[in-house]
Amino acid sequence: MAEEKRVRPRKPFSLHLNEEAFDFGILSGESFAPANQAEKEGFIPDRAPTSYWKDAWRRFRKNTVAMVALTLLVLIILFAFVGPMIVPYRYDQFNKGAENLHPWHYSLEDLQLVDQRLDEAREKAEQSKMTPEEALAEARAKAEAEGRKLSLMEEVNIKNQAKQASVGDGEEQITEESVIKELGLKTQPFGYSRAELERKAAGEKVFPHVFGTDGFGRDNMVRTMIGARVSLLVGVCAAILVLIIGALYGSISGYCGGTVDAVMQRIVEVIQSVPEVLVILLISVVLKERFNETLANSTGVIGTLFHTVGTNVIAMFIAFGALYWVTMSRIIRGQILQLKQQEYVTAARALGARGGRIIKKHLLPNCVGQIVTTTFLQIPSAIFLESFLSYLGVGVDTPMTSLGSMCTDALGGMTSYPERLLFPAALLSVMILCLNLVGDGLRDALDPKLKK
Amino acid sequence: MAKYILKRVLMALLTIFAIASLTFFLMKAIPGNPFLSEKNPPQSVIDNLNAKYGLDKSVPEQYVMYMNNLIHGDLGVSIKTQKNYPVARIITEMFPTSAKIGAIAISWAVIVGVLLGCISAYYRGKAADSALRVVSTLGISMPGFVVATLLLLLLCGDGKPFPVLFTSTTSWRRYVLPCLALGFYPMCYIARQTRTSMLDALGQEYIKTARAKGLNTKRIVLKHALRNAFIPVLTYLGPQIAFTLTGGFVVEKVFSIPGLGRYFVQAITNRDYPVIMGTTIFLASFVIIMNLIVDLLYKVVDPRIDLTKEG
Repeated sequence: MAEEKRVRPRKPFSLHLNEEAFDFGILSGESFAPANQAEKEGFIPDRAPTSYWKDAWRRFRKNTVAMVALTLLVLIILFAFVGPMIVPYRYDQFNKGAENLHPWHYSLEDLQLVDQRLDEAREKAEQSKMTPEEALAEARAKAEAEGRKLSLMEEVNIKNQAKQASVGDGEEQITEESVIKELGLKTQPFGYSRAELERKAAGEKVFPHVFGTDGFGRDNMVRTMIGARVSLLVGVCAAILVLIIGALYGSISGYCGGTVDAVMQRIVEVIQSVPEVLVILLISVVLKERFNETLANSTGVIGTLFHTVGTNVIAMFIAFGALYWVTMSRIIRGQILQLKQQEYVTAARALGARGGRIIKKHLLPNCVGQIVTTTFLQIPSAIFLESFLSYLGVGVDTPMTSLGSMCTDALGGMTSYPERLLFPAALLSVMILCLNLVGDGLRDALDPKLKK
Repeated sequence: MAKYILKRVLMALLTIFAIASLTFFLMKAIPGNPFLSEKNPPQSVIDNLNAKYGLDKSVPEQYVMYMNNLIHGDLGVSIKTQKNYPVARIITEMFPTSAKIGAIAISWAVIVGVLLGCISAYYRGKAADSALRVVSTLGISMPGFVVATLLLLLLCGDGKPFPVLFTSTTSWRRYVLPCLALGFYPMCYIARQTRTSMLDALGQEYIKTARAKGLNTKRIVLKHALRNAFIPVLTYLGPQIAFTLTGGFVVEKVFSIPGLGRYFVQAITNRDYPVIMGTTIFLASFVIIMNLIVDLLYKVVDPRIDLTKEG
């Protein structure tokens, strides 16, 4: 507790624990004089009083797990918000010639070597191969030398065999992969296309495709960054929406009490027993369609807003806000009901404090911890839900992307390009994990009473 | 007791009614006629459908009609995926597969989750506890589709023990990964909750009594503490059932399981509104009824809980 940490004022009230102190006859009239300036200053504690937030921060800093999570979270936020400014590609930019790149590459020399080998192999195959006519002529010459003539059936067979041989080499097909394996070439990190490697060799600066590219040649790292940004923004905005609705509803319900509270709580109970994800899914599917229809040609403020953010995302917010505020409202209502009855509130009132002061100094500081923690823990659950909706194809619209929709897109070529799934999925999991851990740390720091 | 049960049943009915109403008004909000696809059907079909759902009537009349149809189990017909096939029939055909996988998933999640929670509480502060806590915290941070696709990527395909397609085989193997993926989140969640309530139970007076009697710790944990620690876990079962149901959408999509979840996702992609609406009403009612059962069971199992007070 902050108060206990303060150094007790020593001078004016310091008890001299010797006999004279209790001998009231010795006390001179001076002892009862008003304190002078020096004595008054002695009242001021040696150390500045710790504020609630400073104290919470001190507790939070001691929590190693939460601090590591917070550091990671800051890194992810930098990755999502600063990253796209550094990488010279845009999330919807098609890089021609750089389609389907893995996050690794072979050096230009190696590639040239591979080409050389392939050319050699092809030439050799050309030489050894004969056209059907040549094969027939050869066979005829052979037959004549043996003194017999080829039947029509035999001629057709020879032609067909030669044809097949020239179309495909069967098992002896030489591909890029087999040559690379044969030469034992080593891959190098980051994806570059052939053209980019050549430009790089020419002295140009080319930014690598660190996570590779997708089927349209879009840089996967930038897409991951933008996806993380969308997910984070959706989470934060949804949490704020939940805070506003929940705080309003909860405080009205808790403050009014009586019938109003009873009716409002029945409504909460109904909403609480609804399977939220299902209804959110339904609402966002339908609302999106509705918005697309009504706002297709609108140019007003709302229309522009909807066009820039995307109707899907707004539909998702409304659906989320419509259902997830329930927990928040219950917590705030419970807090207000409980705090109204506290002795220290009565004491403050008895000392002449007004309602505003009681709320500001006594009620709010005592539930702000819970409000902040609950709001913060809404962020990961909103991100969880957003990724779920995006994965099912109800989330953000193309070409905008989110981590969930990137994972769906990756499903198609999962065996050839597992990294397309792994990067966004890992980032999403780490992000939610960090948010959860920081939220737990916040709860412990802001509300030490709850800690077990 | 009877009064409480009656109150809860009425509340559940009210909730189902609210969801059905919401569905109706959402259906009204869809631009155009939700029962028709873009390809214009013959006028006779439009007329028939309009007459069946009374689309030519006023909204309140339509609402009454819709509710009436709903009570009689008529959820409309599919307009895209399986043309003119009744939604109610689709549900009865598809749901058993989903229910089977969901039931297996929830069962193993509860058994393993409670067990791990006990172990974690028993070895509190030791390495086993830390490891289990890391795993369970990770588990509740991983979206279902991440777990499912990772399992698919690592363990399915040629030369690996499990099939990629659910329908490609009839062996029991095909159930392993979907159930594993689906039960992972509930398992981690339940393990965390069990640990908390177990630690709570271990701090109680009757545990001290048991110790004083000279019982060994294993017996105390398994016999005395677990019984009481399990009760709060029951309350989390309701939400977990709902979670497993929606998680099924993702798992069925990943493993290509011909269940209601995958059908539902297809309906969303195809904008097959009657299927979306009908399935939502059905699944929501299912979850609400399961919640009700779990809640009532909870009150029956623990006689100390005051039934007149809302918990």
